[in-house]
Amino acid sequence: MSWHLTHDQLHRYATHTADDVTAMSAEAHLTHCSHCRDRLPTDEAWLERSWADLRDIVDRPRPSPLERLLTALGLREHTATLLAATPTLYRAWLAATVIVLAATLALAHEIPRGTLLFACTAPVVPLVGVALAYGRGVDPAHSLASVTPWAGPRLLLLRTCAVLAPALTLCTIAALLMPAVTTVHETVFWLLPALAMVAGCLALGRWMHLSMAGGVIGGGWLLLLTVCTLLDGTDPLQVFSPLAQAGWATALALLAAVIALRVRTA
Amino acid sequence: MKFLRRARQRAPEYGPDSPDPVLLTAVAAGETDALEILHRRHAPWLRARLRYRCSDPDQLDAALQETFLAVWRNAGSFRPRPGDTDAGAWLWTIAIRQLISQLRKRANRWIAEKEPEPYETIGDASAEDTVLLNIEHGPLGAALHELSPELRSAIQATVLDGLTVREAAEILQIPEGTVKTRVMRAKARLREALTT
Amino acid sequence: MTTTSPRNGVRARGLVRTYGTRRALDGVDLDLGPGVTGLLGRNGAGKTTLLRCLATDLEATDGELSVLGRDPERAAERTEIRRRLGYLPQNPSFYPHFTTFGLLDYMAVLKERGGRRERHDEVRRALRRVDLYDRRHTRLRRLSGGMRQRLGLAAALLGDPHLLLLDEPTIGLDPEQRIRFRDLVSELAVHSTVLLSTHQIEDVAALCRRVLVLDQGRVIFDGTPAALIARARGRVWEQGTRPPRNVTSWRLADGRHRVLVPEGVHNPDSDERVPVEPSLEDAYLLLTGAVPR
Repeated sequence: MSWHLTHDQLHRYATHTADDVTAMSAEAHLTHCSHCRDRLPTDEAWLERSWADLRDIVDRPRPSPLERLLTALGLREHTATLLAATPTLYRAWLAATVIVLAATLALAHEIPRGTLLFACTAPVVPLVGVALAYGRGVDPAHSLASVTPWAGPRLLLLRTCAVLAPALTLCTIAALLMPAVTTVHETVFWLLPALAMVAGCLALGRWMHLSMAGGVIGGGWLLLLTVCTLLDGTDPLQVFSPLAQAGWATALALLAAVIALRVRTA
Repeated sequence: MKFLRRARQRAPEYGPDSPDPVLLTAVAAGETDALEILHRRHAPWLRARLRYRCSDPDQLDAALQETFLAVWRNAGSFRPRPGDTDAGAWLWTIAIRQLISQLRKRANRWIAEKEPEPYETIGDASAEDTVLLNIEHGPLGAALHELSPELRSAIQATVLDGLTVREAAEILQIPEGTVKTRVMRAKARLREALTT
Repeated sequence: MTTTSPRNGVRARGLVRTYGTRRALDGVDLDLGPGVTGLLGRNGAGKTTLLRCLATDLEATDGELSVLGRDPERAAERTEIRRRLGYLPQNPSFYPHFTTFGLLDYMAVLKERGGRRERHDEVRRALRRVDLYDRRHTRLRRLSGGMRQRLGLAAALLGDPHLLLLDEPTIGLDPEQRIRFRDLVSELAVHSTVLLSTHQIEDVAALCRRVLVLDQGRVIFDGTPAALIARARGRVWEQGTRPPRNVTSWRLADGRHRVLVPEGVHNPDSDERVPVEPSLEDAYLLLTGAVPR
């Protein structure tokens, strides 16, 4: 370029006070002259804002399919991020659950009284998930996460929800596919024991590692089934009898109160 | 988490003083820092220039943002002419078309957006146009002054902004036929002024 | 609890933490304010336990503790502390399938950092600070040890903490990165309280106005590096012959021996014995009585 715009011309052009012809001339020149473009007065604050807006679009991580699903379900963006960031073992638990339920389903259709196996496993599915959801040893990032404001009961309950939602859905589907299911009771007989055991695990978590609490509760469940089987003339399915269900409901209510109290005061 | 980015080519070395083509190659390889340098370099003058065509700052900023998003997505399609180290003309063609598409959106919200035409550097302007634009003062300046505002804006849209007749019609909000006649009349007047 | 610390500091009185019968912290008194304090001590001296107590990760068994003017034993105040706390644990581990950006974003959510937009801006700033911005798409399983360490540091820096607790932060960093790290920490320490646990005595010498030495769960030195060095003056020698076995010494490149003579130990005169100016490392070794043979 053999000539350049004067300071005054640039200033008038930038402040939108140039007349039509000067503006046209300035534009024709600016298209090709980087020297004059650099001398054009700039609104730094605007430039900064404009770049920040742009960067937010070009440099935004795409949410994972799970996060998109959760947001579509109406969860807030940060809750979706928290729920999607589950410990590595969560996936293993989910896969194992699908396999185990599929196996019990196949068995139930093959052998008489095959539903017994489902009845014994379904209540512990959520328990295992919760036991693997939080704490040192099962969560690799626990040492970083444990001293954040979200750590503690809040994060634990959130992750419990992340376990309960798929666990209850999968167990209900499996129950519906069992042979000769006709009543509501036959579909959800396992629900109250399952919830009561999860609540028991969370309540015990006050005093021990969650995974150990899960082990204790799971052990108790096995013991209960064994005792029922060994007792003369007692059907292990007695643990789902209406009377027993009332017991589970009471236990669940009490434990839920304990947990609520703990969350309130913790 | 995946990021919005294409398959990664190797980015060239670049810095705040690198020429536009190098930065665009880096942007094509997914370098946001190179895009930031281009933004810092070109956004201010593009904005100043768009302001002469649109008074609504929101639409203006939206058009500018779309411009740089288009650069982010299409940086690989920039083909500089040999020896040309400046992407100003290319950026302007993108910016003015983004502005038109913003104005169109506002006018016809319910009409589905058409795919934008591919961006091309303004082709070799006719010798006449080059003469028209390279002279700042002198007989042409006076001739431009004497044109009526309607004729001047027609020249501005077609020659200066490199718009097609249809696009010029949209931004000036007049029928295409009118654009054509105005441009012809304007050019005739200018030629007259220069030869006499 | 009666002890309170300033809003940007830490105060501990008679802090005790036991594991079974072992007393990992055995009555620690501590006052920390803005600036970098180095925490030295052998493995098992209680450094990590102390940091975890201050970070509200462990509850103290006994004693009084106030962090950032608040009581970590009360849930509401504990959460308040955590909002202003940055903690880099020893050997931090992550979810291997996350990207560096994803992990910091997750940490920023856990730290309650604003809406998505501000949070992402903050994550980018943190990544730039530790020089990992170019690696923001990289999965964590593909990061080197030094990069993981820097990522942990970035996670600790989120939220501009008033109290920064760093457990062995320079492990795995190369010399250039260590310089950058020191620069970053001293910049932060203008307004924040930083406690830096380390085995790298050069880091302490370069960064810290104050040094704490822990031994068997007790603070055995609390003062400036210069004061620690002054204690060792007159006890560090270089000589041609190897000294008795109860004295710390090591062979130098030129074949001579550097000898650290603790108080009350006799080092027989040898010819060519020359007193030398102690380094911080000499002083630390003399203090802890390490005999590395």
